[in-house]
Amino acid sequence: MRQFIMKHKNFIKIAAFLCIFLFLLQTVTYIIRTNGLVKDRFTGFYGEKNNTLDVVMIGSSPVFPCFAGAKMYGSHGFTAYPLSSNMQRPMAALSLVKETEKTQHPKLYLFELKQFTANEEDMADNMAYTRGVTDNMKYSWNRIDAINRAVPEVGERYTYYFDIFKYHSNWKTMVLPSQIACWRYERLEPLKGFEFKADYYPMEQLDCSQVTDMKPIEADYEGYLRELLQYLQDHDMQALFTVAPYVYESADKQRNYNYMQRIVESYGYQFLNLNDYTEEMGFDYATDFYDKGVHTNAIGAEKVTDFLGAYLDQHYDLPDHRLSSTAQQSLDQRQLEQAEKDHENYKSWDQAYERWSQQMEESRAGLQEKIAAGAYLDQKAQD
Amino acid sequence: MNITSFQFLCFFTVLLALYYIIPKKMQWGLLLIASIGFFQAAGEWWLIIYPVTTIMIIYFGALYLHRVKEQKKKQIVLSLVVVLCVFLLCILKYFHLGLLAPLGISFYTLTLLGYLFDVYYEIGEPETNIGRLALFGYYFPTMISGPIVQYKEVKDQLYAGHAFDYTRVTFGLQRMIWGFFKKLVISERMGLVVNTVFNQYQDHSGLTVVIGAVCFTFQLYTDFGGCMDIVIGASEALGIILPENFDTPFFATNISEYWRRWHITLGTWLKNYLFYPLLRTKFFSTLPKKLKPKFGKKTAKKLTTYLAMLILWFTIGFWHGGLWKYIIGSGLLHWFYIVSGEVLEPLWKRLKTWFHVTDGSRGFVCFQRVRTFLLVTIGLIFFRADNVPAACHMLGSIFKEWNPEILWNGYLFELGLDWIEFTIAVVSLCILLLVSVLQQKKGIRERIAEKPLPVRWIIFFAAIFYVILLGNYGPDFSAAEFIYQGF
Repeated sequence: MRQFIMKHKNFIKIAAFLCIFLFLLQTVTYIIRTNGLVKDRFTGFYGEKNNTLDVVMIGSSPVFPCFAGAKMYGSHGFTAYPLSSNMQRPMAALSLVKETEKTQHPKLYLFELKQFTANEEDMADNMAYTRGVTDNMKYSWNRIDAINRAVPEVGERYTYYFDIFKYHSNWKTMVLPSQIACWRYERLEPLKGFEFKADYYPMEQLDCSQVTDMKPIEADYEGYLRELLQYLQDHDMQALFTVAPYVYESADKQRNYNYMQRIVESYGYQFLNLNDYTEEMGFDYATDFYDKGVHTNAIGAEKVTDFLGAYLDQHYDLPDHRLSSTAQQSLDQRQLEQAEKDHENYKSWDQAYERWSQQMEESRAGLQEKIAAGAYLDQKAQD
Repeated sequence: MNITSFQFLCFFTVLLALYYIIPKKMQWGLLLIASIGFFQAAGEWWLIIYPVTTIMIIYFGALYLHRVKEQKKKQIVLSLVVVLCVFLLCILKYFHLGLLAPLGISFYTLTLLGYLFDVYYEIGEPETNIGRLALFGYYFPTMISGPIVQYKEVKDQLYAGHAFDYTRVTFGLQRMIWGFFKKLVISERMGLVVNTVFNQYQDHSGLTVVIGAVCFTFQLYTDFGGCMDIVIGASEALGIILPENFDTPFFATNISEYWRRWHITLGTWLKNYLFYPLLRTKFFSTLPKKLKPKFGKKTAKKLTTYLAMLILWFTIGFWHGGLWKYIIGSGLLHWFYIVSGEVLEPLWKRLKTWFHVTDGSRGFVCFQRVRTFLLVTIGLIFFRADNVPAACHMLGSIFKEWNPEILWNGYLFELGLDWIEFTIAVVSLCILLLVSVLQQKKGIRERIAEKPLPVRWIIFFAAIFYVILLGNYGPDFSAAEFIYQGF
């Protein structure tokens, strides 16, 4: 061994140097990736203990201000986490499922399908939509695959593989404790990925209940959807395909969803368009949207989450991780100790629910004041 | 393929690995293929026609010059080949006929012509293998901006096999990092200030113009010097030592010395193949005799040399791009500095005596260095300005306003660099200066090599991440190409 080391001393040195360099490069990149809510959501996902997520919610920006995982936990006891980013490109869904399976084996995947009705040309033009996913994934072969799928220009891919090419100018943020804490890209997110929207914008519903015909989505997107469905089917994974409430730009959107519903159901999966249940959930188009009918505000999100949480609880076999007082009463001392030990992994969810409840009250009070005063979001200023 | 690009790093990494894996006798062949690939990656495929044509002409020309003994025939063939090569160069580079100039065209034209002259003067033997000659002309590290190598300097290294030498390879890579530091951290930052001042020169005056000009001097030095560090380092890692092109030029105490330290290989080439042959021509060898009756022997000789120097400096300026701003800024102005320095030598001596200045004293050397730096900077105002009138306007505007307040009123940070970026630029320049001073006594790489391994690695990682984090590159920056790449 000693002889081997002496003989190959220089090569061992080179290999060691490269390993340290790559480790440092990865660490520095994780730290200086642009800080913000999307980064927090992804580092929060990686920060969750292995096999503790029951539902992973994949999709675009309608997901994180609408489906509150902490609230579902508080009401039903299962854990649901959004793996979503703004204008998430449809081909990313499969990559995110694969990414999830590395550390979590959720009982259910929930896919929000609004982005499947988008225009690929618009989405591909803005690299932020791609980077929202790829630059928030940990380094892995799956990440490389995700980049290859999303970036057609081979010559540009290296700036995605090595995203330090883009983010090195963020070096000033290296001194922020919140950034340093991301050195492994794992940092629990206090609200479990949910984003409160505390403004409102009055809208009117576009009634499409009579629209039953279909309109195909873009061929590429249909390909990605079928690919995803096939993968889920091949791996015997449970999934629910859904659409969060929003105001359709035209009846064509309904036709797109009808078309997707047929595809999804042909693979034996369920399709739940929440726009068809707004009456049941008591959703008010005049007060429950944050912006121009695209994203729900906190009040709208609570209504949708209540409905969706109950639906999931009813239709899927999801566990209850809460340490409820009634459950505690029926356990002996040893069982109680074991239950408390098992619950260790879910304490952060208890805290998240508490935090969510508190912020929800604040947001509700603020929103009610604004609604009473008619002070809705200045969309022009937003634009 | 820009040598600061990710693509180049990949290209070089693969080449370096292959180079030491394959049998040694195949190494030069690999270098030739890699060099052609590097050239082709820089532009249109058909641009290869130019170097192929040049190499064929030079190859057969050199063989003919070696074989033929009649001086007259040799002269005719030499003249034909030189005229043809220079004609092609001028067509592509100076006359802007809508054709694209291939990468580093002037550099390999000079390199190959130097080889031809060596054969003509019987200093060197002609290369009989056209592939080997092609590698000499094409060798990718020298293709972009030089150094302009002489065949006799590199032939033994280029075609000889090289075993993997850990120290040499790591030294080469370290030098490349140093080059990236100069180019990406300093030069690109300086460029932001330079662009602000020079692109809107009508809006600036006084100290702002001085700062812009000084920044350009640093930008050009770190750009060109950085490029040289990268290519010389890359070549060193491949076992081929190239001649140095810079030797701390801003430590020069006069303009002549500056040119012995700045773009050394161009100066050497022009001296060997233009200036000395020029002095040996009939016109210049008889000129002192003609001038002697009127000016005396000593002055006649001096005047002859000044005239030859005028042609030399005009050529240097013209080589940079055929525009008057280059001819003045990089040529005639420097000729004027040198000649006036010599003509006024008695006056300087008298002044030194009056002021009790001792040659070689620390203070006087410091004064000489600052003076040389400022004289060079004046020339570089012409070099960087849009044209000669713009340069004159800028020089005039320095004296239009006395505005030292820009140093403390925050205006300085409105020239393209905020205070953090400005601080990085200044700290980086200080590092550059410190290393340059340390290098005077002993090479910095040798100094680091003496340290224990953990210390060495900390230094290397610090250097690498300094460049990675503080360099201006990537999709958010449009890193400029090397300035000398265009010459």
